Amino acid sequence: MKETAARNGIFYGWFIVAAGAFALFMSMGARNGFGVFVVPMTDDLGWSRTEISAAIAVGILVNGLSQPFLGRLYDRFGGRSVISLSLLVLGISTILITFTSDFGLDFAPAISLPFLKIELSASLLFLILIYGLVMSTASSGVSLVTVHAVLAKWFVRRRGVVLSLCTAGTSLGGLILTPFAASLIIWTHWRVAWLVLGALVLILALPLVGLLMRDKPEDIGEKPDGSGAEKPPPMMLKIVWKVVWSFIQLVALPLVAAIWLVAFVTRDKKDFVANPSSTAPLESDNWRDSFRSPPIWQLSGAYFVCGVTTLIISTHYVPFAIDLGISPAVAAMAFGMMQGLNAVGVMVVGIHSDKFSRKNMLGTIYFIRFFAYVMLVTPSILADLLGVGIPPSVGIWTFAYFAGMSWIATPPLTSSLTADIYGTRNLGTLGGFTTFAHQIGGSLSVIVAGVLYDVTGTYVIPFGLAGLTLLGATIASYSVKERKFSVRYQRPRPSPSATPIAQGAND
Amino acid sequence: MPAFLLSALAHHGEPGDPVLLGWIQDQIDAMLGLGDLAIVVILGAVVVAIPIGILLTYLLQRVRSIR
Repeated sequence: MKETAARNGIFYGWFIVAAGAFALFMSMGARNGFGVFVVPMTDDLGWSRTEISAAIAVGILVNGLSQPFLGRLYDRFGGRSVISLSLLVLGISTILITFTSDFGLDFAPAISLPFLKIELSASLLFLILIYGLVMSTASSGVSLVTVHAVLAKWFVRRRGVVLSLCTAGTSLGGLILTPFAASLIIWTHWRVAWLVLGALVLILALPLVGLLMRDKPEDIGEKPDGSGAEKPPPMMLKIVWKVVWSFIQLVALPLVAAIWLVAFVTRDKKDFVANPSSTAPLESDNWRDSFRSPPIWQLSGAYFVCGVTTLIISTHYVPFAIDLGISPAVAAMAFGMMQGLNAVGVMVVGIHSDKFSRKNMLGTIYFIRFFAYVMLVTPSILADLLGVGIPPSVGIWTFAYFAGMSWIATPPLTSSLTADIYGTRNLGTLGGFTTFAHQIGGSLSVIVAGVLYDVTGTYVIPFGLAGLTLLGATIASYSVKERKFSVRYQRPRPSPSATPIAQGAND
Repeated sequence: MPAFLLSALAHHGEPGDPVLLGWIQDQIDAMLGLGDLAIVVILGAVVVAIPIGILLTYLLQRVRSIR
């Protein structure tokens, strides 16, 4: 079907952004919100925290493992089919959790290990099947991997800002749907809350994606980034955006300053090609070929560290705050501020990444997170070694500010760089691989941190070690040869056999 | 066990820590002073308004281009 609706109006790609962001909003929000169901479900169904954790563990594992496979499916069948089908399965499985019960069956074989004791009741098996397997696999189909891959086909010049906007949608999903589900549980019942969440996915997200999502601009006679003949936004909208953008930059002033400083030091000349080559330098028919070049390993290695340094904090933040004597109210406020700064950080980075080198942006983000970790552990180290009494809340707040800005800024940059270097043909598979590395890093870090805490009695060592890995991620990111391999620096070639332009000075 | 399995704030939709989410919920309640029904209605309206707004914009574009 030829779409003509957006001709001379808003570029159709922006509708893809909106549909993709809302799909992520619902998918991530529904999964993020599981935390508020833990207490009412365990109370109601007689599970222990360990038992419900087993279902969640299966979910995390399946979600991580299935990312490359869903990415491969995306590459073969396209985003519209995979995302729509995943939303359908996600909605149905979310509703099915409503019916979690023992179904009159009276069996509960026990798994007993020194550190783990689980009674596998029928209700728990049902939850493991529906949440752990079905819902978690479906979530991989409506993830940053698939949605970023679709958007990368629609945008080349504005890829950074578009992927960042979409990623901000996931953050918003957690911010809105989690308190929504929590209040719904208190007002009604956890079963009603699951029913409503599933219905929202089926009634709102699925039709929106089905109606608006298109796999690539050529399907409707469009070009990536639009033809340039679209109507400019109204003046009022421009003024509002300028005010909002100024405010965002003010809030994220250290991040903005760091970006400009790095651009100055590296003499980033913004010398992108206005109409770059349509084929990325390392684009290949076979996704396996991509793993013979360094950038995918550099990006995956850095993303592994990203997983290490996000999941360890997500998990051990509460016990760490309690150990330092921080009150729950203060810890929750710092955590809330961190969540709010997610969106600010990702927007700042996204907009700047379309103006400057993306690998510099990624390296800067990892370095800022490293600085945040330094600030987190420094008060404890100074107190232990030198007896200097810095209030621990200083570390908690400083960490929340700097880490918050870096928290979700890495996925759009990693996806953009992967698309710039390897093209969009196998982006689903490659994105799935990097995400898999992220999840493995996250899971390992959490386990290692727990063991180190048990051995040393403090979180300073695991957090310090995690922080140090960020230096490796910073170096890996800065050393990506973007000028040589990114499509943004490649002029259209007169013939397929022509070689790309020479490598630039600052690679 | 595995408090880590109830972790929050990761990139790929891991469930949130129930203790932490409880703290944040208490803070929101303390700041806004709204009841659960009000929060459900307000946030529910926001969730429903987003796709409706997107679709309306798309339809308006379509109508204009047909004219």
